[in-house]
Amino acid sequence: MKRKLLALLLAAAMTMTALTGCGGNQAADNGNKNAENSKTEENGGDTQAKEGEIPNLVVTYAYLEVPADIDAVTEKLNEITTEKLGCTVTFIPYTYGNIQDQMALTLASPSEQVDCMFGMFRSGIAGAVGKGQLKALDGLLDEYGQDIKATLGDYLEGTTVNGEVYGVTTVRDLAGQSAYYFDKAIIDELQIDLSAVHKYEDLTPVFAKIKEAYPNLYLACNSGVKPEGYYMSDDGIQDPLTDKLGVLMDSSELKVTNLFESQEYKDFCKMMKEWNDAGYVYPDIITDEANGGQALMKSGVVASYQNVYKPGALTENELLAGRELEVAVLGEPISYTSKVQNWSWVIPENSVYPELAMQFLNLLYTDADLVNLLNYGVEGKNWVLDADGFATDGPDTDGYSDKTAWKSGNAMLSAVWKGDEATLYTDLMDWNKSANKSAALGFAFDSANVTSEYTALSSVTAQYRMMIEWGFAADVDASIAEMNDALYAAGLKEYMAEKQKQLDAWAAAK
Amino acid sequence: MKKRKMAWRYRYLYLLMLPGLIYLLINNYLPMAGLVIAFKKVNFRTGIWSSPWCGLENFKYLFATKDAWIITRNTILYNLVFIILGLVVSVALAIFLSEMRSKKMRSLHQGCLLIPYIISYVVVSYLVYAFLGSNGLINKGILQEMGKNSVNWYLESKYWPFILVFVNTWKNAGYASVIYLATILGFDDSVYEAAQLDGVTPWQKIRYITIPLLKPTIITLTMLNVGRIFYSDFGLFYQVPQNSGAILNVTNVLDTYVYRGLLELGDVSMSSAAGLYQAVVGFFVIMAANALVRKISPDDAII
Repeated sequence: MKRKLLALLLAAAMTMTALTGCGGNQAADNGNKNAENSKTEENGGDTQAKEGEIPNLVVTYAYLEVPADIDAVTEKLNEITTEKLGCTVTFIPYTYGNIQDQMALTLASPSEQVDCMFGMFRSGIAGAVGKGQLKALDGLLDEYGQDIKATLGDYLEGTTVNGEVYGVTTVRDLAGQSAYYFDKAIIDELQIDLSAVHKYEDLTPVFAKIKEAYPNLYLACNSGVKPEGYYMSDDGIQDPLTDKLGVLMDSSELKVTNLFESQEYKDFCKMMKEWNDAGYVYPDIITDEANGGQALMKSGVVASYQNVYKPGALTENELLAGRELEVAVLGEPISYTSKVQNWSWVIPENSVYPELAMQFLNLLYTDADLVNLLNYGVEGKNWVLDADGFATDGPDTDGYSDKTAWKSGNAMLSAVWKGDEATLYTDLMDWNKSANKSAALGFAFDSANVTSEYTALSSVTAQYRMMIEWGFAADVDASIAEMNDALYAAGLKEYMAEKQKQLDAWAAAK
Repeated sequence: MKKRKMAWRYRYLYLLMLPGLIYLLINNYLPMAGLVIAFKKVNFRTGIWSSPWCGLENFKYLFATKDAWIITRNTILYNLVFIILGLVVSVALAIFLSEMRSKKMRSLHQGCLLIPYIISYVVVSYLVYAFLGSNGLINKGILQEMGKNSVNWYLESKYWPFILVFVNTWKNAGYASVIYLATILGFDDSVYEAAQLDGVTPWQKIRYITIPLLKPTIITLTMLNVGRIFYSDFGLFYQVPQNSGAILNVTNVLDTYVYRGLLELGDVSMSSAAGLYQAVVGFFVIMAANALVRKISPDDAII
C-alpha cells in the first residue's frame, strides 16, 4: 500500500517537473525569438522580422485588477492588429497595486522586450528619461503619429523633457479639481443645499448637520490608494510641481516656495484638526490601506468622501459606491505637468519595433473598435450597445470588470456608458480647456542631481504629513514647525534651489 | 602530490558537493560583477559597462541626514534584541519539548509553535491590526470595557518596540526551536542515564549537560544571525506597523528607508549601493564575532 502511494507521488512529481520543464522551454524559445528579432533589426533593419514570421509587439497595460476575460480581449486585440498593422500583440496586464515595481523592473532589464508601456509616472517621466530608459518620440510621431498630434495638440508639451517628447498622454481629465461625494439619501433627508459649498471650509456646517443626525457615520476620508499626504489645494492656483516639495503657490509665477510654511497649509491643517476633534475623520484613515472612500460608503461607514472631480465622475463614483451620490465641487480645475504625465504611453528603450509601436499608439487614437475593446471588453459579451447608442451591461459584464474610458487613448472615440450624458467626452474636453493652466505646464523636474535629498525628504514627509493633514497631531503649529525643521535638515533648501534652477532653464529655453 | 591523491580518494564526496557549489557560483558569486552598478550612474541607453563612474555618490543618501542615525540604531538594536531573546526563548522551548514524555504531545506542540512561522507577514499584519485597530480587540474588547480611553496604537511610537519584538519572537521562535530540538534529540542517551544514576535534579541536567552540548549549535546559529545584523525583515517593519508614518522613528530600518526612498525613483544604482553597504557591514560584524568566539572558546569558532 505504502509503496503504491510512493509510486503515485513520484509519478505526480515527475509530471509536475515535465510540465514546468515545458513552460520553461517555451519561455526560453520566446526569449530566443526576441533575441533573433533584435538581431535582424540590428543587421540593417530592412526586414523587421524573418520572412513568413509576423512581428510581435509586447504591450503592457494597467488595470485595477486583471479582468477574468483577459484572454478573450487579447485574442480580439490580435485580430485588430493583424488586420490593421500586420502584427500580433503580447498583452501584459499590470495592476495598480504592482505597476510601480513591475515598471521599475522592466525598464531596468534592457534585454526584456517591451514595445509599448502604459505607465504610471507619479513622480514624472523625467527620471526614466534621465536614465536613458525611454525612447524620444518626435521622429516617430512625425512619421506615424499624426493623429496623436492632432488629438493631443498642446498637451504633448506636458510630456516633453529637454525639448523632446517622451510620452503620449491619454484623453482624460488632464486637470485637477477636488470634490466631496455625499450619500444622496442623507442629503435629501436632511435637506442640505450643496450648491453653496465651494471650499473645504464650507463643508464644516454640512458635516456638523449630518454628524448630528447620524453620530455613527464618519464624513472625512479620501478615495483609492493611500497617498503620501492628504493636502489638496482647492483654489485652482497652486501647482504642486509633482512632489509638493517646493511648489508654485501662485502658478502664474515661476517662483518655487515651501508649501508647508504657507498660511494656506496651516489653515487647512487646523481645519482638519477641528474636523478630527469633532469626530468627522474616519479614525483608521492612516492605517486602512485596503478600503477607499467608495468601499467605506458601500459598507456604511462614511456618509461622504473626497475624490477628484471631472465631468462624468459622478457616475463613475456611483458605480463604485453602489448608491446614488451628490457631489460638492470645490474650487476651480487647474492643469499642471504631473496631471498630464501621471499616466502616459511610452516606448521603452527595450523596444524591438519602435515604428510599429508608434503605429499601434496611433491606432489607439483613431480606431474606435480598439478603444472600446480596451475600455469595456469584448462587445456582445462584456458589453453591448443599446438602442440609444450607449454602451451598457452585456451578458458577461463581470468578465471585464474594470470598465473605464480614460486609459486606452482617445476617449472621444469611445462609446458612452449608459447613465452619462451623450456629450460626456466633449464636455470633458471643454472642461480641460476651461481649466486654469499653470505657467509651469510642461516643466518636468528631474531629481537625478538631488536623489539623496529626495530620499531623505520623502522619509520626512512620510513621517509627518498624513498625521498633520488628517488632524491627528496634538498641536498643529508645533508639528508643522517640527516637520519644516526636519525638511530643511534633510536638504529642502538645496532641493528647491535645484528645482528653481531647472525651472528657470526650462522657461528660458521655451 | 598528497593533496591530489586525497582529492581523488574523496572524488565522490566532491561530486556530491558539486550541485551546491554550482548553485553558489551562479546565485552568489556571478552577480557580484553587478556591484559595479553601485559606483556608476547607470544610463540604460549606453549600457551598464559604458555608463559613467560616479564614485561614492550613490552611497551619500544612506548617510545624508539625521535619519541615518535613527535607521542604523533601529536596525542594530532590534536585531540584537531579536538575536538574544530569540536564542533564549527558542532554546527554552526546545528543552521543554525534549522533556515531554509523550511523542504525540511533542509533535502537537511542535506543530503549534511552527504555525506562526509559515504565516506570511501580510496576514500577520492583519492579525495584529485585529488586536490594535481603532475597533480592534484591545480597544473595543478590553480598554473600553474597563472604562478606559482607547489608544491610537498606530500613532504612538512608545509601544512599538515592544509590539515588534513580541511579534518577531512569536513568529520565529518556533522555527529555531525545531533546530535545537533536533540537536537535543540526537544527544547520546547514555550521558543522561549516567547522570540519572548519579541523582541529578532536572535543572542540573539542563544546566550541566544539555546546554553545554548545545553550545556549538547555539554558536553557529547565532553567528549566522549576527552576520545579518544589518538586514531587517521587511514584512515585520513595513507591513505590521501598516506603514504608519507617525511611528517611523521606531519602525524605520535600513530596508524600509531604502524602499520608501527608491520606490518612486526606481534607481538601481542606489539600491545596489544599499545592498553592498549591508553586505560589507555584515561581513565585518561576522568576522568580529568569530574573533570573539575564538578568544572565548577556540573549538567553536567557525572560520
